[in-house]
Amino acid sequence: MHRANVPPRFGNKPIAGFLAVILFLLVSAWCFDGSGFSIAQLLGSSEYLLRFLREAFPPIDEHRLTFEQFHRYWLALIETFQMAFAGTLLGLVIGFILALFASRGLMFESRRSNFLQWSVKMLISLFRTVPDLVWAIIFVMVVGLGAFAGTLTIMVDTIGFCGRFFAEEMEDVDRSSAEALSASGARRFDTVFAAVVPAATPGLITTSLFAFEKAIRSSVVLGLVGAGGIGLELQSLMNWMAYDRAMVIIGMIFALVLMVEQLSSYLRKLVMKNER
Amino acid sequence: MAAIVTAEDIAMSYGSTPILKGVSFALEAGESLSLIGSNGAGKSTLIRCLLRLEPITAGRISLFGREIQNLKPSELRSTRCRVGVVFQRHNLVPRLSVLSNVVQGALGRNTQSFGSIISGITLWSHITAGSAHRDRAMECLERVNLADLAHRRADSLSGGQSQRVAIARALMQDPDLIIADEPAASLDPIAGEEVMGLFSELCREAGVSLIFSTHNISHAVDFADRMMAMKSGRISLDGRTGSVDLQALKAEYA
Repeated sequence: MHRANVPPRFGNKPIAGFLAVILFLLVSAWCFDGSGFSIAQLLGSSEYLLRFLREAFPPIDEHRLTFEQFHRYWLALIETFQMAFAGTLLGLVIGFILALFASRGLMFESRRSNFLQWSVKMLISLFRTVPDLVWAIIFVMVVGLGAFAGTLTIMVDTIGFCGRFFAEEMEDVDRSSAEALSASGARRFDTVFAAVVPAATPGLITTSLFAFEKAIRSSVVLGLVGAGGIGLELQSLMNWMAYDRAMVIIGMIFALVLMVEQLSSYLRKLVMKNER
Repeated sequence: MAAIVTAEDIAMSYGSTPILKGVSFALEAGESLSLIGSNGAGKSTLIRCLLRLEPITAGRISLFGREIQNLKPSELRSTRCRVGVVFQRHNLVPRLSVLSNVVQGALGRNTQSFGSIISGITLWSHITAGSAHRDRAMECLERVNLADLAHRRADSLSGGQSQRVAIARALMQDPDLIIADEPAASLDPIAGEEVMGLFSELCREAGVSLIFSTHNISHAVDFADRMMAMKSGRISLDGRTGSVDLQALKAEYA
């Protein structure tokens, strides 16, 4: 049979694909080697896990967990929620404003504006690529231990997350209706808010809800470096090997994260239901 | 009568491909002009150039006596706000109500002072618009027989209804000229006929000038006083619609 007549599925696999698979396997082996991953070590550590579980359960014991302690954890949990909410809200507002300028050809259209757009994109990338724990360490250093450092960290993290996705959502909007308004003499500022933002709204809302879920999860961890919230309590209990009370806190965190995720998922579905 | 649109020997290219080659014409106040021609003849590009949505590479275009190439952004807006624009599709903001879309027609009339920034914000939606603008928008919707759909979402409308809303928005501008780029192209024949009839009637009633492009020779003849045919970026015919030979036109351009 002539080579050109061979159906594609029976043809020779391109050599590049084969090389890509080999390369992937080599990189995977190299990374597993470097990561210190060891099943033997994991199985050998089971006694520590069993000890933790033995001491952690039952988590609530009237001789060990006092009402005052539980009340303190509850307040810390509330603080975690407040940090996440306030930080996300500030991050959403600032992220949205930056996204307007980072979105290609949205607010301005000139060579000079390309530089502005690039600069804002770089700033958003900086906020996004530096991990939240690093921001938390910096803010603890700047404003001291406590919830304020955590709120600032979540704000910066949300700016990085939402700035990028908000900009992409507004770039993806069909600009025809904005052009129709512009052709009838409307200001660019008005066309952005009257035509582009309404069209991008479902995407902006779902991204915001994801950002809040993300903020709730990271606000728990931020306490580990002193940036307020329930993570601080968890860290001190783990240091004191008070695993039973630590388990209470883990349970509370689980309930909070689950609740926020369920609520967020419900709201996302509600938003999408109204879109065809 | 004074010309409100003047194009003098205009040329336009996309890269090295010439689209318009020496197009000249003038439109007088109150006149209606149809543009016909096959795909790629340059009708849509000419319309976009008239609105300065595309830059021309040679020649001059004047709207209401102002040469549009040299206008500052604020001057361009004050010129554009006298022109109602209806495109073939995607004229409306899909997630907003019909009424909000019509209210937004007043945005162009509202850009002449710094204080208008705040009043412009109120025109983003019918909810924030003042009662005067809302009432005027309802009047415009009544003129296109869609007042009962004022609170429906724009993306729930049929093609014909959407174009009628776009016409209502153009009326909201209180324009001196309406420019429509193939307004009936995405509609079924009956809806297309209705939309073109509405255009022609409203423009005649209000003394508004009209330029529209179409592939439908009957629309071009029935709904305009004058027609221009385009071929390969040039005007190949320009005359009163009453004096053209419909059969010859159909043979040449349909």
